[in-house]
Amino acid sequence: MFEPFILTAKLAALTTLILFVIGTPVAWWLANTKLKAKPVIEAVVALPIVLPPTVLGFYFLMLLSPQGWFGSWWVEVTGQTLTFSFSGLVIASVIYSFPFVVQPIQSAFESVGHDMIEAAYTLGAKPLDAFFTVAVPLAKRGFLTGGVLGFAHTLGEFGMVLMVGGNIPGETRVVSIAIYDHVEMLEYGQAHVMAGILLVFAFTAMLSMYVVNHNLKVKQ
Amino acid sequence: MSSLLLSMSYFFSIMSVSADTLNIAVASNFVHTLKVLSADFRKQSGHQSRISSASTGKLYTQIQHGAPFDIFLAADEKRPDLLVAEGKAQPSSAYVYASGQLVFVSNIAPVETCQKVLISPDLRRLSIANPKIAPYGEAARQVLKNMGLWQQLEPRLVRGENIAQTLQFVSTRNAQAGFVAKSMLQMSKEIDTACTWVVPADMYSPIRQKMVVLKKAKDKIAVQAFLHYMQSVHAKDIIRAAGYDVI
Repeated sequence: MFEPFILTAKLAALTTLILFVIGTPVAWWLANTKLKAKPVIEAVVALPIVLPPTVLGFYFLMLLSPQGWFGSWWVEVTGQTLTFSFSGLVIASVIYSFPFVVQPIQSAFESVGHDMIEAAYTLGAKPLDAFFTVAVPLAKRGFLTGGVLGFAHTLGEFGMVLMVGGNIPGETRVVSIAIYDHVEMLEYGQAHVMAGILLVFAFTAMLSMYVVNHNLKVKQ
Repeated sequence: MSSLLLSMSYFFSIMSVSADTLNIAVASNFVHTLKVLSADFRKQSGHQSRISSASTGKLYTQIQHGAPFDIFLAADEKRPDLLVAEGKAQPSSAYVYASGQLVFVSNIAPVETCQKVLISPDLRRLSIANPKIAPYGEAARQVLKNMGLWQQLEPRLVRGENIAQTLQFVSTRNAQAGFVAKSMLQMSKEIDTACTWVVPADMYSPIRQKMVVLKKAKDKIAVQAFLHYMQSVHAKDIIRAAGYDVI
């Protein structure tokens, strides 16, 4: 009963963590670049918001398969296959939730503006130093929003996992799939319990995000 | 111009009287066969069919919640019987239209016989339909138990949510082998496997596929015509040719 919850939490936490690491530089770059091609890259980043999960699921099925170029490389390096595995779900989720983390951080960086960073430079801060001591703290609302949305959106994943997960207990049977299974088996009792827990959690996450965000705004 | 309109409206009114559209819910394993059957049925009767396919379990749930189907072709007997018991389907319409055959397909070339692939270390992922929802999955589970391989292979199983996805895992080569419906192999052209093994029927309990007419559709003319058609020699031949046993 709780195995899917632990698995889902693990998947969402790991995905969010990875997204902070790779999403932050992307967001920073997007916020500051003067490149003409910026809208193109922004559009690519936003794709998972509008694409049906079946499109991503289909591509992942091809790409992550032991015959696909990425999947076969992974097999060579790790000896494991990516489809029907937790690692595969992490990779898929990182792409699936990418815009939900990058976009809030990017707009937060944009609202920090260049003046503060320039000021830090003139006071002798190194770029990386200025980034971590000035830009990041000022953009913390963006990080909070991105973190919560990335985590919650990964919890909400279903169609894609259904296509590349293979429904393996403890490995790829996340909560959304477990609920789907219970409904199919007419076990509405279990479905109710799991769906209820998810509902309460999602509401709490959203609520705390808005409350904290509001407080931060008032302070600033 | 007006005469054209008149004749058109006449034509459409005739159509609406004589030709009906059937809404058929069908278990994934039978969908290819049903398409052949419904084309043939249309040629004979003029009635069209709109086909929706999914796992038997899902279709059953949808029907319970009021999905607008006229006829339900399940992959088992359980769900149609339940619908009859619940008063949602017409008891006299229940009919076993086909018995499914289970077949093992493998992307790994066999050393001796195809079923030896089941004990091959190269078999990393074995695809079966989810035994709890899909009859072909339950049959696959029985076969593996009979062979004494269930415990050993269970950690390597991937479960398709229906038999179509089960085959898709194999055909995209994400799984090295799997248990699917024989009919699907015969009907899909894109399948190119290293070997197949038709599992002997005594290794699993028979997969009797039953159809029922849903209560609210029982007066539709096309429904009765379709019931008759399904029991005709011609239809039975098509079903047999598709890889099923027919009584």
